[in-house]
Amino acid sequence: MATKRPYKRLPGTGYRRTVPTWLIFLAFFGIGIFALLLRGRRVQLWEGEEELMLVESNGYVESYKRFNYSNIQGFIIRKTNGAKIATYILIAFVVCFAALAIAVSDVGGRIALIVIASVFFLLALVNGLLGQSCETFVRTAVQTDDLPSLDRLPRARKVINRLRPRIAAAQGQLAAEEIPARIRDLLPKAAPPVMNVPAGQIQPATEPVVAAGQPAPQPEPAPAPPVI
Amino acid sequence: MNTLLVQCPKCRIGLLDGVFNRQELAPCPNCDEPLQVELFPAYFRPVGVGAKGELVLTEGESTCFYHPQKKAAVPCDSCGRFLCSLCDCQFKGLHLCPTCLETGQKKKRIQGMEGERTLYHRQALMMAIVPLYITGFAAIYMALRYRREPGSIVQPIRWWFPLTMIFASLQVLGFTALIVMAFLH
Repeated sequence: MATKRPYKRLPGTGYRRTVPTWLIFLAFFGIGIFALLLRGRRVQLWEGEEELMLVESNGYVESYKRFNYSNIQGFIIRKTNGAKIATYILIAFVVCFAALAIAVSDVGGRIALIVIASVFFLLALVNGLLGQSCETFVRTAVQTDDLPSLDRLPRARKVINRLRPRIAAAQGQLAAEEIPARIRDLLPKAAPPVMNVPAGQIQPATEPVVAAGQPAPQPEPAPAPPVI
Repeated sequence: MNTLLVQCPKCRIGLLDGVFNRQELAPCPNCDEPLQVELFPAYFRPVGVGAKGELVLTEGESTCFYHPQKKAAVPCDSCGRFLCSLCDCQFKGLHLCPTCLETGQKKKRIQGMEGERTLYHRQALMMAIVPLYITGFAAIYMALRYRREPGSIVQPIRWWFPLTMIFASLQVLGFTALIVMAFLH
């Protein structure tokens, strides 16, 4: 009898990159398909009954990070230009190979160039259909962690929409109108994070936060040295 | 009270208004970066403070195993040692002492605490497929040695053992036959 799996996979697969994407792309021309070995650890999200699980895998070892639904404070999505730039580059390749195909008189060469141009066109098409690229972060009381598998805006929204009922069941509802007022309630007591700290790290409460639209806090003047 | 503001991932400014719980992108008030921020009630939940544990006032009272000067509050559900409120680690309804919690995590006894798993079955299957002769023996060894090890938490595969054994045996038999034939001829 088949046992019920405790986790359901959420859309999207990402990679925790150790090598920049453009370098992998360049490596592809040097070492071919083996460039994919430079992608880094595979990251997927799994939806559990009580928690969202982030699974990182190198193929032979899996590591797990659990985000309990009752502890998730929010999701932050930032739109990026990665997909747009990739599409432009791919279209540039299509144009180059198409132009070469027109210029070449040899039939065999022309067919080969058209095939290459078609491959790049297909890649550009798929890239375009996947939607705009983005970075997604999940925030809890102790960390803000990035979710590399949610690197496309439609996919990130889809996953958040799927998780929202579970989080609401664990925490209750929050009306959008009451958020600014409640955040302002927090502000006078704020003595928190530091600017210029990469996301995904715990931020020590050493400097006051600078809120948008608020003047930056001035440091207190140093006491005058004692007069002897 | 939670005092950390949500920050813009680009400019790191604390966000106050204009981007929360909209179903669309909205610009960061400081850097105009398109953002979508979804907040949940946990953001406004005050952070709980852990109990310190009461000091023993009268002689003969049960004390914590780890802090003899503190009053015992609960026994550990795993080892039975008395624990003060400070040492009482609550996890999925269980009261555990720090040692049992650590041991449970290391020995994978407590469900939902594992941080990592080695996928021996995947390694064995891969070795069974790679045709290098020695890999066939290694795959058989790994399959037998780790057959009781749990696989992936999220994608448990039940058919790996017979499949590995079939591929590895075929590989070993095939290579052996080739070697014997080469030797005979």
